[in-house]
Amino acid sequence: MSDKNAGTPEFARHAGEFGPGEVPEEYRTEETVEEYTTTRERIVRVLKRDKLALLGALVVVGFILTAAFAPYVAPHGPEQQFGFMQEPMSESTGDFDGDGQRETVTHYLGTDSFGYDILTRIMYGAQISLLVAFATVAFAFTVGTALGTLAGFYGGKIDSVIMRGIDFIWAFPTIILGVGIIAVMGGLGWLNVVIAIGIAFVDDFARIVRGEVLSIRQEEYITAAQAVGMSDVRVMFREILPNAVSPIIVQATLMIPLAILGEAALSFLGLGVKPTTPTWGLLISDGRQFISQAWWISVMPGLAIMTVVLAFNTLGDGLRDAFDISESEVN
Amino acid sequence: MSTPVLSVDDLRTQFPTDRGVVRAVDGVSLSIEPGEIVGLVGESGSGKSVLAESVLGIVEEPGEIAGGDIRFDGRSLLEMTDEERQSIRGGRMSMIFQDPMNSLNPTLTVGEQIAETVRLHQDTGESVTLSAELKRKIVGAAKNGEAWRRAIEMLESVQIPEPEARADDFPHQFSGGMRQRAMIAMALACEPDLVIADEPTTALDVTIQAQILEELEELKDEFDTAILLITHDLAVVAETCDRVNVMYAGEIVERAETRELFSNPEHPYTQGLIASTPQLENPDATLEPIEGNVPDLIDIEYACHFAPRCPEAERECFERPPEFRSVGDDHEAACLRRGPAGDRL
Repeated sequence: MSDKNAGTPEFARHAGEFGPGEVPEEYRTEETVEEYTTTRERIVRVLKRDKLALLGALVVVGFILTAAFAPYVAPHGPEQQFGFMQEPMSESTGDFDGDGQRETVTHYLGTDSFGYDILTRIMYGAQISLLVAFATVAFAFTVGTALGTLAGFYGGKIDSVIMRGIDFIWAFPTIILGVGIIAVMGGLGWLNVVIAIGIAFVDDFARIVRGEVLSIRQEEYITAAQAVGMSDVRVMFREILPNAVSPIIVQATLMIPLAILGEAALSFLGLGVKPTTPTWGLLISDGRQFISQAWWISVMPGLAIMTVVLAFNTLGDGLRDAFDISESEVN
Repeated sequence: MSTPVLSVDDLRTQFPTDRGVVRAVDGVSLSIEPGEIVGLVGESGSGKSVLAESVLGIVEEPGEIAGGDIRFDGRSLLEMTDEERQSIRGGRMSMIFQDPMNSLNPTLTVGEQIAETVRLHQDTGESVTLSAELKRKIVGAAKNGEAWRRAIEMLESVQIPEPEARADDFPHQFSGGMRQRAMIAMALACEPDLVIADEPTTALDVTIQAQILEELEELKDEFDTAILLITHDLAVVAETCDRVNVMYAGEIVERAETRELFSNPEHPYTQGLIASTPQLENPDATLEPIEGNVPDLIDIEYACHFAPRCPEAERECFERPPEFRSVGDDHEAACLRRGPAGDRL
């Protein structure tokens, strides 16, 4: 033993104390696993962080609840008449609930040219307006996703034929196309409105989905799925669409306000639902001729549309951030 | 000799392009016996993967099989209907892909993906329609069936620790090596007769590479599966394969038993390949690159595709197509200048 080895005993004393895979207490690290975040978790997270999106979500939920429970929360019946064109915050006195006694009620948003309470009409109008909006987007979503998937997946001639049709829809302004479709179908009614605006929105979904499918189908797991014997339909539904869902959800949220506006525009033009049904578009239209004497008849439902559209847009923006989708991808 | 699991005969797969026809696979023949590991070696762009895709029948549009035949267990795959081929894919014949990061669906758990393959190909009494799939997911009954049990069993046999728990993980929670194992589990879940492994270890680091190869070999013995191992890595071939086919520019240029090929490479291309690989026994040897590049596969006009890069090429090599000649025991090379025919100078 020479001086050269003087250092070794120090180590030798501990030799074998820590074998492979063993680590002194203070060097041990907790194993961390990256959490998979489900779509629901991601939405919850963005709502917690993004207060504007949360506000949007709350307003949206508020409108939906109001619409759903309109008969319970509305101050009056939709057909109940008061004095014509009363100002906001004005009062009416009379026996309105049929109990034999006279009472005084406040019209927070005034009454319209038929003497209907505007707040009540807006609440009932929300039923049709929101229902039509959701149904429209659901329609466009289903048809657009199906077409976009087929076009992106098969490519070639199928792609060309489908996408030229989509271009045709895209080239028309929504409202003009909607008017045209309603003219062809004939007759009024909310289902016709849904189909008319729905068809006009198909292109937005089809384009996004096609783009997503085009990029996803290059992924190796699609080839792998084919290699384990999956049919084309199965590959589309099980492998491709679940991976394309985020931009579609965001697009749907951003399309709902457009659908509300579309329905309002068609109703305003007298091409929407039956003229006596309260919808926001019709309420605005009803007030048009009286705008100089009673501005509130048109402005109040207009404010309702503005609020809900704004709410959907902030919610949609929040979701877009949540799913990390670039602005150019959805419009 | 028994019927080969796979026999490819004069297969031609080509892709029409604006500039002309790309003959990615140009008259390839090879056969694989049951339970055998056959290597297919070649540079990038030599047509190995297209060959694999042709065998599975998943050549990307606009590629097409223009000639030749592929027989699986004696039956021609090209004459089968799409449904028949679909039922063979994943069941009796499956594939392992190069990139484990991309070859699993990120939106399904690993267990689900393996179980689904099992359901598609084996009669487990579980419906495989999309609505049944959805119902299982909602009711949460996916884990009661035999398919799920089989998935866990497979994960266990590819050495995934705690298979019951990990089966619920999504692919991104797996490491690269684990994903490749999961891929292997998926490919072997239905005990196929043939697995095509397309560069199964290329994306992995060497330690994992060795483990995966070892596992493949063990699983081959366990399930008596034949494997077509596609790789550009000679070391992988030397380690695992029984026989080797060397591919160059859409053609097979040499085939032999592995040991024979490495000790007596005959075709100038194979010689070049081996000379350009570092040798452990002879670390001081200079690596000899093969000059030039793999040719553009569009309209090759000369007879031997390797001729322009071949150190021994003569005028005749450009004019007369080389046929396979026996150059040793169960050893053939496609070169005019080899074999007993006496062209050797």
